[in-house]
Amino acid sequence: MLIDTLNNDTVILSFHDLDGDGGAPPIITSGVLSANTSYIGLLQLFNETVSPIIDIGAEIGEEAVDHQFFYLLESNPDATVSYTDFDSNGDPLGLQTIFSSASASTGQLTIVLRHEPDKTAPGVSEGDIENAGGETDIQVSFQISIQ
Amino acid sequence: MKKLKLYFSIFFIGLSFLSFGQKCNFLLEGKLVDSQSLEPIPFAALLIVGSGQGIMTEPDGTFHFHDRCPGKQSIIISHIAYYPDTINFIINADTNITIKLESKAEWLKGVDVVEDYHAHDQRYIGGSIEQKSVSIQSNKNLGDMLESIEGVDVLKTGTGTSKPIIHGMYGNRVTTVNRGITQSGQQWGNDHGPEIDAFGAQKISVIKGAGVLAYDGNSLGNIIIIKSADIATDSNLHGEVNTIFQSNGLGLTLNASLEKTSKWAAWRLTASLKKIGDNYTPDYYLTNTGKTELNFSGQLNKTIKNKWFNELYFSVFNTNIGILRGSHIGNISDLEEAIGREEPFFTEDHFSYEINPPRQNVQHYLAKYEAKYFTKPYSFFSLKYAWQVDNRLEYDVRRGDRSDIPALSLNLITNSIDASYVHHFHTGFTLTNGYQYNSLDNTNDPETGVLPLIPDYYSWSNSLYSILEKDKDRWGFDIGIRYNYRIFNVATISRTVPREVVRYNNDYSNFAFSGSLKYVWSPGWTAKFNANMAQRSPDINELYSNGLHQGVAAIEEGNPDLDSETSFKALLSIDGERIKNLHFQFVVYIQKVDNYIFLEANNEYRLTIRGAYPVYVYNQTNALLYGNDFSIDYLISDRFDVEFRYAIVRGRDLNVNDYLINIPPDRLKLNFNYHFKENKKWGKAQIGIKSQYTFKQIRVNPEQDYMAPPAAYFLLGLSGDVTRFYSKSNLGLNLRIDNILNTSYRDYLNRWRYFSDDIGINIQLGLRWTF
Repeated sequence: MLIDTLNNDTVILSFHDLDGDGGAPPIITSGVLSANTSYIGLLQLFNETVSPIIDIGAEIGEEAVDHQFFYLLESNPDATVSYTDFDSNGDPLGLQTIFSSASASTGQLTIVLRHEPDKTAPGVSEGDIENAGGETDIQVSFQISIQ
Repeated sequence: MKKLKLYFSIFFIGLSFLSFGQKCNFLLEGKLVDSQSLEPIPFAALLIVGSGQGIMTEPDGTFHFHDRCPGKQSIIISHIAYYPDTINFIINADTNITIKLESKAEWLKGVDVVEDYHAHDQRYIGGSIEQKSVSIQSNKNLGDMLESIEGVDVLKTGTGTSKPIIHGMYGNRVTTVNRGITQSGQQWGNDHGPEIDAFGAQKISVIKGAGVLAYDGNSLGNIIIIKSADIATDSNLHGEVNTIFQSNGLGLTLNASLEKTSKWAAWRLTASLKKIGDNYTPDYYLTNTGKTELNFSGQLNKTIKNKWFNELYFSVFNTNIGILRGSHIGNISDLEEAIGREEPFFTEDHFSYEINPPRQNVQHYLAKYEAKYFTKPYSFFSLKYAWQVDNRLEYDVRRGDRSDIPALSLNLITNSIDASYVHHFHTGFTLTNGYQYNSLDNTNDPETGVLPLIPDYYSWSNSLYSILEKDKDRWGFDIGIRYNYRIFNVATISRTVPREVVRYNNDYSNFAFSGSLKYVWSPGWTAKFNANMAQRSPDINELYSNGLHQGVAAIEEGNPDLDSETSFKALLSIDGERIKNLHFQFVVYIQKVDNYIFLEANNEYRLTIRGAYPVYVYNQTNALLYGNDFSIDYLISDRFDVEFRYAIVRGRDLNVNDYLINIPPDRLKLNFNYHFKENKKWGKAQIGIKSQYTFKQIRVNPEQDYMAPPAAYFLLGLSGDVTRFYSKSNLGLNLRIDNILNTSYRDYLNRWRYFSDDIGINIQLGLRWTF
């Protein structure tokens, strides 16, 4: 969920896959962002296959040291993402970010959650996944359009 | 008696094979007697090792060897009603000795003979390892022990689990018979080793692909047979204490057994304990590759009126195996990243015994009752009932406290009944007719919170078989048929929402035919030919597995429409015993499998919240496997010998005219052994150098695998062994050093080749006390 607090505008990017590894494809909704805007990014994760629904995001928040989200901007969308939440070691987590769009462009945003990454490896705390290691728990891509 | 006659001819002809010129004119004579009654034993075969001289004892039990050279003599004595024995002594004059041989119980003498017909008989082509080798290698997995047999390779998942590959076949296509009972475990996964502790086995035999119709299971003829040692028949307490230290993983293995034949029954108890920590490659520790194992077994034999043989056996196998932390990956891009790395992710710079998730915890329980009732010598009814429970828990690295909750929790209960009648005709024919029933009940524990990879199911199977066999003079043959009917009753959980139980039924009729022929055409030369047709019904994973295969980041789907595989295999072996100074065995084989079941990439990527996974579906093709096992031992002198082994396997997918995957690369072995002189106190001393060259597997296409097969490698090892004889016990000391050059390598058949090197130097020091 990307919130533009200035203009009270909310953009929701979502990924729903209720059958897990099963054959039905996930439902992905993408969004249109305004150019030259700073959004507060809030990432929420739910396990909706069980009842009651489990807030996985909260679990990850509790184990912030062992997790990090990476926001990979691919195919040249003109935007930047920066972390605004940190674990007890002062390393980034990524449930909350600032998403800043610049000029009008299109591209892809891939969000990757790594479990037990090496947050001290070069570049990792700046959001560079290259040396992060760990294993991928989540990897989803959204087409984004900045207008 | 007919079997005896065969020995007659072999050993009689052996006489024409005299030793070479030297000043050898001593007379070695003596008498062979029963150790209890002191009655003479006529018509026993005596063979002097290293000379080719063989004779039969006279009707009064006497024997005479002429023209013996001075020095050490080693005589192998065999008689059908007695335990075989080897005696060693030194002569430097004409010598007269009395040899006492221990009798097998009168009526029971047929047991081994008949079991031999089905398993260990020379008519079948295969190999085996003996009790002592099993003990001194008991720090290894069962599969790794068998690797020394030509034609056997091992599919490994790191150091923790290994599955034997026989002539290119593994997993569901190989049956393991443990102490007379077909092992029923979770053999559908490539990372699942057989849940067996081999310690205490008298012999582990591998039968390569033909003619084992008397065993239940679903193999294409390849069988591993673990045979319990006979309990010593005298009234003393006997036993063994065995301990092995290994430097790689700072591991300790302890085994102990105790056995006694008392008036009311004979019994044996065994226990094994293994604790091994992180292994290391030449360059880094393999974090989380420790292992613990704790096993027990008990055996009770009671023979009533020398006709009715009863055995109760139980065993408990319990292991906890760490899985290399760096091999635990989330998706396909993790795998690609892992392949490119120098050392695995999560590699710690220190050693640890800790076993954390990902790990496997497996328990296997076996209880069996076996009875044989003899109606006359060599003819008997046999009944076996066995109950097995296999409990497999696999733990993944999971969020929250869920790492302590298994991600896979399966419980498999097996009940099996095996009834047969073995009839020995006066004409020398032996006819075995048998019936087998087997039921499997597999249950997933819902505690995992994960959709099960393997569904809950019941499976029943009924089998009938008949085998006719005869050994006469130089000839031996057998011919047999087997019919098996198997039903699956499966409850899967739908992959669509809302989740619902979807039930399936499958049933299969399978036939097998087999024939073997053996011919001894001149002293020491034996030819064996086996041919068989066998059918194997698809197993549960091939029919109904559904889910993510973590280790290779792929979604694997079963196919309920699979048919049985039909295999045709022919093997020919030429054996030479002591031809000049050579022993050799040359085996060639060809096997065609119609409807060969394999995992096929269906070129679809399925998008999930962890990214896109390739989807593999079980499918069928026609496959052709062929190859040879070649072994030759050259005895340079009585003390020094050289062993050479060369095995090749080729596999083709005939439908698409491409290679089969997971086919062993070619392997060359060259070993040198030196045997020291024996005396009354010290014996069986030897040292050996073992070398092995494994070729690169070039018969794979790049698109068949995530990474190119690893390069060829060379491994060098050393071994040394000595035994100190005491009056009532023996103390053996042995040393083995594997990978003494500390070579970095990866093996094509190790599933961790994507992630890490194989292990470096391993020094193993063992102490074995038998009494």
